[in-house]
Amino acid sequence: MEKQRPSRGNGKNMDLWRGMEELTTPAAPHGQENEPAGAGGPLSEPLDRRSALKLMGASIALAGMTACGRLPQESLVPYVNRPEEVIPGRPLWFATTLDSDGYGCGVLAKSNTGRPTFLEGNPDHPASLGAMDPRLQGQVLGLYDPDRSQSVLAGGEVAPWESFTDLIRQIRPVWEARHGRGLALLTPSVSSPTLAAQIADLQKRYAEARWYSYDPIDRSAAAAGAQQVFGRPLDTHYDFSSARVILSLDSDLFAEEPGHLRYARQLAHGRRVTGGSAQDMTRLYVVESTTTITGANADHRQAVRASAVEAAARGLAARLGLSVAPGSSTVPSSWLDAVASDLRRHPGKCAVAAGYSQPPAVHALAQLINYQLGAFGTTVRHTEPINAQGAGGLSDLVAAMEAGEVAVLVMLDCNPVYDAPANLDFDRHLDRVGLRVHLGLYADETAARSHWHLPMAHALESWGDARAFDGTASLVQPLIAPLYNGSTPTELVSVLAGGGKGARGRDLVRAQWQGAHGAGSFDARWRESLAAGVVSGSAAPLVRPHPRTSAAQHLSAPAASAGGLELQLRPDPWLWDGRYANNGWLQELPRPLSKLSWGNAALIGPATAKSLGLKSGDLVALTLGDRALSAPVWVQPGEPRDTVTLNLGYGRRRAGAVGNGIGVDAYRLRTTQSHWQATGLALKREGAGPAPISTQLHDTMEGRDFVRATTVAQIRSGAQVVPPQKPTPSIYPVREVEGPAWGMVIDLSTCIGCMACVAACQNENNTPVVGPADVARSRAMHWIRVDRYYQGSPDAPRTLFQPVPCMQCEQAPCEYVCPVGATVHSQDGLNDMVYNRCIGTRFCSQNCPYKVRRFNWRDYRQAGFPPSPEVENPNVTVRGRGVMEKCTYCLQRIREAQIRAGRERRSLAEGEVQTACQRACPTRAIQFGDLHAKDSAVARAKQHPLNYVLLPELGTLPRTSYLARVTDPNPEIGT
Amino acid sequence: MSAAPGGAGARVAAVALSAPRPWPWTLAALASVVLLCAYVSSVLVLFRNGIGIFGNNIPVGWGFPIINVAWWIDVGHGALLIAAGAALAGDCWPAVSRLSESVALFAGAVGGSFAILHTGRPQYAYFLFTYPNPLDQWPQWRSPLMWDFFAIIAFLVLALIVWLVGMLPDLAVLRDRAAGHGRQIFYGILALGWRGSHRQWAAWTRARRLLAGISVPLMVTSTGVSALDFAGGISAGYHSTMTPVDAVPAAIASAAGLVLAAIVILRRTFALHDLIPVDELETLGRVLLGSALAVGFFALYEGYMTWYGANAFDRYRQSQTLTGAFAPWYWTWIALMVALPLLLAWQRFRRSPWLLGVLGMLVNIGAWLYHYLVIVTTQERGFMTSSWSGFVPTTWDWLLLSGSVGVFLSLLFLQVRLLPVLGVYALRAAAAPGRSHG
Amino acid sequence: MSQIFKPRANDISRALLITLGLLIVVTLAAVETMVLLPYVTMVGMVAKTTRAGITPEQPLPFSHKHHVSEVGLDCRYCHTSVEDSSFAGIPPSHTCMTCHSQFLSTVPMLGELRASLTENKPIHWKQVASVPGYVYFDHSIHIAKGVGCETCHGHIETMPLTRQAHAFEMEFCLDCHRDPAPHLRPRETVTQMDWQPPKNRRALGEQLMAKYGVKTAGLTSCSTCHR
Repeated sequence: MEKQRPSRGNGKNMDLWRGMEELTTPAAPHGQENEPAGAGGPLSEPLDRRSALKLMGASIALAGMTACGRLPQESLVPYVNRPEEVIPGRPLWFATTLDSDGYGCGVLAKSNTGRPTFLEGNPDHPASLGAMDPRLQGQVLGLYDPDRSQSVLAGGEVAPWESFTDLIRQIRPVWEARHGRGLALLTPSVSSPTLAAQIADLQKRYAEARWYSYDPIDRSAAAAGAQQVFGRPLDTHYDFSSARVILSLDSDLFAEEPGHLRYARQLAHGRRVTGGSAQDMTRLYVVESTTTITGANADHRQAVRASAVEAAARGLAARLGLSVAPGSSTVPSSWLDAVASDLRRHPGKCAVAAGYSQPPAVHALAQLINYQLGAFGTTVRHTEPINAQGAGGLSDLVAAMEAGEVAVLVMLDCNPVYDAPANLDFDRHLDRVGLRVHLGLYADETAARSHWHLPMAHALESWGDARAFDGTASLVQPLIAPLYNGSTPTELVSVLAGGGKGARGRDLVRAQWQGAHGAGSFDARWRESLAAGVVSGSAAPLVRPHPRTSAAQHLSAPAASAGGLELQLRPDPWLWDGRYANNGWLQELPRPLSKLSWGNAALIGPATAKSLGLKSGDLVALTLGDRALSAPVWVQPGEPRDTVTLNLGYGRRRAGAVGNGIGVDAYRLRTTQSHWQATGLALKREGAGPAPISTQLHDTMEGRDFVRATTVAQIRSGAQVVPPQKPTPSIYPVREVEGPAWGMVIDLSTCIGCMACVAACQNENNTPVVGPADVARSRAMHWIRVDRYYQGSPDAPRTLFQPVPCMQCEQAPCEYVCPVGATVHSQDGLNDMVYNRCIGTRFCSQNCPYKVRRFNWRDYRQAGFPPSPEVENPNVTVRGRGVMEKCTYCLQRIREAQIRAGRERRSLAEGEVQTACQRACPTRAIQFGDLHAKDSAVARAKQHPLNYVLLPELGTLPRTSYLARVTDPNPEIGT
Repeated sequence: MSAAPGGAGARVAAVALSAPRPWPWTLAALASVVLLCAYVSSVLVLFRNGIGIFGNNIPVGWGFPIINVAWWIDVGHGALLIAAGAALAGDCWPAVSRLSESVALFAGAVGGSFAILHTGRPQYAYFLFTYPNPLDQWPQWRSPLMWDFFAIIAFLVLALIVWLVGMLPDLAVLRDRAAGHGRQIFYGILALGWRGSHRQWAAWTRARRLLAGISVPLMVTSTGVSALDFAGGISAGYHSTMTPVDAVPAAIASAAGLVLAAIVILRRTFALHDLIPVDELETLGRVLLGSALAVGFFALYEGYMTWYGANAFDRYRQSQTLTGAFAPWYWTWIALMVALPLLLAWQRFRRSPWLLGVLGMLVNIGAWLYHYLVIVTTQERGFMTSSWSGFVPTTWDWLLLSGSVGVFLSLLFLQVRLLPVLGVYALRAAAAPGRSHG
Repeated sequence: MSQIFKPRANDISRALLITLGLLIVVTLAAVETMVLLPYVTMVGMVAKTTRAGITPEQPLPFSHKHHVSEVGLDCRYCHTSVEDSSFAGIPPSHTCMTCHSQFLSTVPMLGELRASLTENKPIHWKQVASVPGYVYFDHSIHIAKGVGCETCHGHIETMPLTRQAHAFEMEFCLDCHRDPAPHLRPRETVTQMDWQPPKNRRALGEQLMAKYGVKTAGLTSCSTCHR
């Protein structure tokens, strides 16, 4: 029978130490049974003889007979020599750097007896400021992915590393002789100074060798725009801390731009309502061509098709006195007038940001407008390009391949066979390359077409460095020896350059920085950089460029936007360009607005859907020129008219057991000409398919007041947002607790709905991945969910986000209905869930008005999604089949802090306990702490006039409450 | 006509001992055994794969299994009430008494099994018992589920006793008429040495009355307590003080329906028309009519109270139920459980056996729908609109539901095959002077 | 008609009835006592033995008796992290060899130990004292609040081969969590095996509770031990 499975490392840290040799082979157990859970449903689960016997055992046991046995015998495996910094049972934290969309982002990684288990933002790193996003969070699960490439493959056969290094040794004389003619290197744009320097050296060594770079999520338009305006490519980033007005031209500032975490924090700073008084807010205008959380948080949003954004930009520029040819804009001119005057009112305190998916002209216009408004140097900043780029792009490489100029192609950490634009036909041209070498985390589509595939070391296994969006450099240090004997790009390049596999990443990085810092006091500096997670003072110097006069006139005349349907491609919020496709957490995590999970869909607005006679779940054939793709439809409120948006990153063929065949591959519609959007899309209904999987099936509040919203103006006028609640009578006595009383306040004004809290919670609390079948059955397990409601017209709706963890009610309806007392109140006001007492009647969930309880319908550790016990938090029980679970306010953190305080004979300090969701939140929208500590931030927040609780009429007295959402719309614009 | 007791005894004994069984009967018996097997196998699969095989989810945490509990247990409660009523009314309805006692026990057993099967970790269900343990833990007494647990146990024990005691004299009859020593021993042991002495009859009658006296209040409360699982809940559609009360007539109606169906079939198959007079059916028909009327009244009352209570959530649910997404369920329920039984207001229909039989079954389908309305649809539209979701039953849901019917029928067939199907004692009472025959 | 049952049947039936009654009583009693026995615990419907009093087979015949009462080592010499971690710590082979490189440096009995150091492969000890996975016991806080090692681990200094002294059932923990006073001792004496409690131990315990800030209020919340 199913007894509560003790978690691997169930809080007994001695269980945790499994020794490196075991850590290196986690794949075997779950490498097999990997077909998605319930794909065929329970009916498809065969009943073999042994399980049949087990069954009989179960039935006998239920008949009340008792067998006898012993509790499982665990064994204790001490070190042979204990590293002195290790205290068994206590985690260590290391500062390191992860890749965030091509730039470095500093994180703090938690290591439990040698195993990285949790990631947190590094407060000292400019790109993080202590915040996280799901893509970063997921990388710790990626480390243990059993589908990761585990060995060198020569022609598909497992081979030793040496065989490859030997090969290179034999080839190298040829390169020496021919100056590297025929050697081509393909990488994404490089943010690592070390790698960039190495490649430069390589090119010095082999003058004829070519370096190409390709990013599926290509930001080159910005550089091109800068080129038009300044005559040289410059990187642009923003500082919103002093901004009062922000206009985004199709730029997803808070989710997709490098530095998005920092931007979100700065925006929140300008929009947080402190105290009752309502000061002016940083006002956010957004003109965008799809639904993003940036648009969802705007005071004023205009949804126009991507090709119409330029016209809006031109219109705005003209209004601001720039001499540009205006285009015919679909944005109402009154709207543009208002924005223009608002911008003009705040010279130097405003910024206009253009999105990477917009053509160079829009970026150029944005630069000019910013210059015009005196934003340069204050809110808008320029640096020399941060990332190193190859001389050519993918098209150049393909041309070279076609011309037969490429004899050896080395592809570092990229997957062009999957994500190259379809019209390049990269796959076919590969055949003309004599020797194809691929270094990657996975034996992916490209690996399959390469002669040699080399396993790459995961960032948490590697030495390296990376530069952030503002140029700040930080070091990458390993928390664990490579599980699969992987190698880093730097190490591989050093092999090419003749270093041999001997050259270790650490030495390469040290050498690089020794050069940068100079030998004197280097070690101290090195250690300091490692400890802090940033190299102090390494930010790129700001440049103060001046636009060339007449730059405006030189702007090419606006392209007359063609009619008809427009296709728009965007990276998936979580899978990004597809690199995270095999990550169960990210596949299952609902997308911020569509709440789609396990798959992408053709997003179309309600108006478009109506005119085309489509509804969610319909299967449509999308045809663009001679390329076609059939995809399910998802009707997404807020999408612009006549636009079909598809997310990239799905339809992987060799991602791994989790990601294979999930969603449709939008790259098949991508061409070099229409990189982000294409007009002239033909759409034909093919019939009804299975509806895309979404975790929220109802979009409106039905007039119920879950999210209360108001405006600065209304507050000023003294309108009452939150009517005083008179306490509801209860037959149960009110608990008078001594000691701490934990509570949480979530500020809806600053919550941007980015889902970082959900991802962090899943990492912290061992929340299982349940798989598409069960998500479709409304069985998703996330302990905190972010509800998304729409108000107003479906085509231009107002979007409201609301994170919903357990309310930790003081009069909890779940508690009094549990027949066995498995959910009870703790002294400090937590609503405890005692897994080992739960028999699974589910009455608690039935009686939970907030529906925050989650149930283990299956044994999700066996459900077919690599459970990766290595990543599990040893201080949180792994729940077995048939028990209820829910948010605990990160109980384990509370208890650990209390024990620490007790050990040190002191009382808990304010802010000493922080929940995972709170730490991850980019905007610090979540306050948590002791309500009895009168000075605590959360206690003060509870006194806030905008503070309210969900469903007060039920008298549940929730400990989790909300601050009503406040926006600051421009009175000149009628809402 | 008047059946001599002895003759009657012979006839009743014959049903169990020697009567020829027409092929439809055997076929039906086989069918129910097949369903029984379906039940057993799906229970094994359930233990292997866990309750994930059901269609339940969050928000609809309770699905078919709980509907089955509520439905079967209600039938059981109602049946025992009818049996008690019959006993108190002088034990002169041979078929009604015996069959309602059997139905009570069997339905109760089937329903009880689901109370365990629906839990996530049935192997820990013993946590519900109050036993001294090294955890220093006790059950949680504020939980209606806890009360229900004890209510069901009390009901099952009582049902078992009533059933056994009621059969004693008839078992003796079978013992005396059985051919073959083995059978004589079998029935002899069951009869507990019943000799039909005057003293035994007196004691027996007292016992019957006493048990009946206990049953009536206990069944009413027990039905109510089961309903408290919902009334005690906070959800709109659960949280109503009337739920425990209106559960009682519903229970009686479905029980009367089931018993009627059983009697009609028996009567026809074994040509017991003379032993089961139409008045007896008509009486039960009256009970059905009365309880159906009560159900109708409570439906109106519930509607009124919801409107009068002016709770936004309740009203929303009501609108969904009366005219919205759940209207089909609701109106089918009304039709089957309230409208159709009104036919019985006419004696013509009351005295038409086949109609009573069909009606009986329809009423039970209605009863099942009623529980579906309460248990599933209320949760599909809860407080948080963001959590609204649907419920899709799986193959296993359906298999276990039909399987439960199979278990019930198999038990009933066994009863008919092995045990007395009519109360001979009641035949005596019926045969007593001063009672008319139809 | 012929007699089915001889008169004896009555006596038999009575006898049967009585035995039946007795059987029920006996079985109930048996079950109750069984689940209450210190060395039996229930996992689902299955009775399993707790490891109370059980001495698992160890790779090395390590004797606490020798090292504690004869050599006189303090617990913390080997269990180094007991004061500042949830886990008391099992000594790395290196710790053992600090002595055994001099003493008994050649005896075959310790071959495995020497091998582990030379071949750098850890020794796999069997866990003796353990609580279920859903119990989160933290050594450091108990030491800090003055709970002696002996209170849970028993008189380890008398054990040639280590065994689990108590069945760590919930009531064992609750006894103390409900009323810590009679179980506490001065912090400096926690590792003393021969510590003699004063006559009025409760009085001392109450002083210590005040001194160490032991509050009983939250001690019996489920989430104090279960997460």
